[in-house]
Amino acid sequence: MPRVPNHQMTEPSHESSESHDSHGAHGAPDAVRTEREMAPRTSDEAAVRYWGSIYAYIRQSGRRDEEARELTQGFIADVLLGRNLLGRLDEKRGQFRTLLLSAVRNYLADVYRFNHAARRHPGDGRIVHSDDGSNDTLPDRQSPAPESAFHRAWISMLIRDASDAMRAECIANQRDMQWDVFESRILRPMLEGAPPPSYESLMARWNLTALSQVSNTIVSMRRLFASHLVRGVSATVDTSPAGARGELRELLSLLEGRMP
Amino acid sequence: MTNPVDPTTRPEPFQDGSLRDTLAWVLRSLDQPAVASGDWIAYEVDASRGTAVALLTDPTTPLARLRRARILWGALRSEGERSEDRTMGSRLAIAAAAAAYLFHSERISNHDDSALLAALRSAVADDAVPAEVRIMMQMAERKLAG
Repeated sequence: MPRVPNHQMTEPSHESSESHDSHGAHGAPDAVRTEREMAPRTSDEAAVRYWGSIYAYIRQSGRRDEEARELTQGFIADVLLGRNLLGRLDEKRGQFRTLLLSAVRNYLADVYRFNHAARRHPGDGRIVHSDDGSNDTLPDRQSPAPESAFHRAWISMLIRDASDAMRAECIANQRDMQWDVFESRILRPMLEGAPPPSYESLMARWNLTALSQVSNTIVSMRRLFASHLVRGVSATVDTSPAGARGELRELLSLLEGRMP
Repeated sequence: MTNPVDPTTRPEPFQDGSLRDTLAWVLRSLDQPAVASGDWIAYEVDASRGTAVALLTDPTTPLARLRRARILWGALRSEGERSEDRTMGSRLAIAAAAAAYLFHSERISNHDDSALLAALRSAVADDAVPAEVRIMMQMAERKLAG
């Protein structure tokens, strides 16, 4: 029996494998996490889940790497957790993405105001975030760069989540071949530019006898990936399929530069 | 609070083109599931053309690719997991035979003339098949009918 190749997609360091490994058989309702359950359940999960998008916005707004990481940590502690931004997700107040983006933008504005007030009135004992010559600038609300970076990181997070969930589901259901075919033939070439293996090599690796076993597997696995991506998107908007589809359309429009 | 993500292992965002392509095909699978499955087979056969429409309406598509596409769409017809996949597989397998006949004057299916004409007419009448492919099949139908 061929060995299952190691998972070679860029591995998020943060996603708890146990959350995805808890998936049971495909279609078993009690074993599959719902959209709401796919949302972070603990503050640690939330911190790592949204870290990339928050950091991307702050970094792209002109902060150096070290400062951007500190500000990201500060935002997570003070706003995401401190002001219970995650609680708003449970209240189904529309897109969590836009809520988070707006909160990060406001946080940077607050930091800017605080730092400049501290410079004008030093000695109040509070910590100044950036007094070491770093580029402490008020976020330029006209510049698309920080928001573009945020959205790229956000969509990358959704795709990684879908990939991880699908991989876990396939392995749990002894669908190693199907996962390998999809990952090596579709996912890695599309996301990482890896050269796709030939049908013949996949057939040899998995003792398949017909080309159509590969092609039909790819059709099934693409559809499964789409369902995982929709489920992940649904966790950030209202739970209707139309809500997820609308969010996917908006994300695509943002990538194509069709939205401000 | 400690840094929850080691920056040395923090994954970088994917490239814009990768993200766009991924979201586009996922959305297409939601909007037009049967057409999407046909396109995925087309992409497997000829990634540069990428869709069933592009593969089947380009006169320069090599005959070998049309043969391969017909085989894989035929397998979708017989083994597809959804009924709409099976129907679309059937239509596109006939369309591949039509394209081979129209653009290369080659018969790549076992249909005799009357069976091929009947299959073409049935596929042309199916609105689920992309319009460009139906136009190509009408042209093949006229060529076959003489």
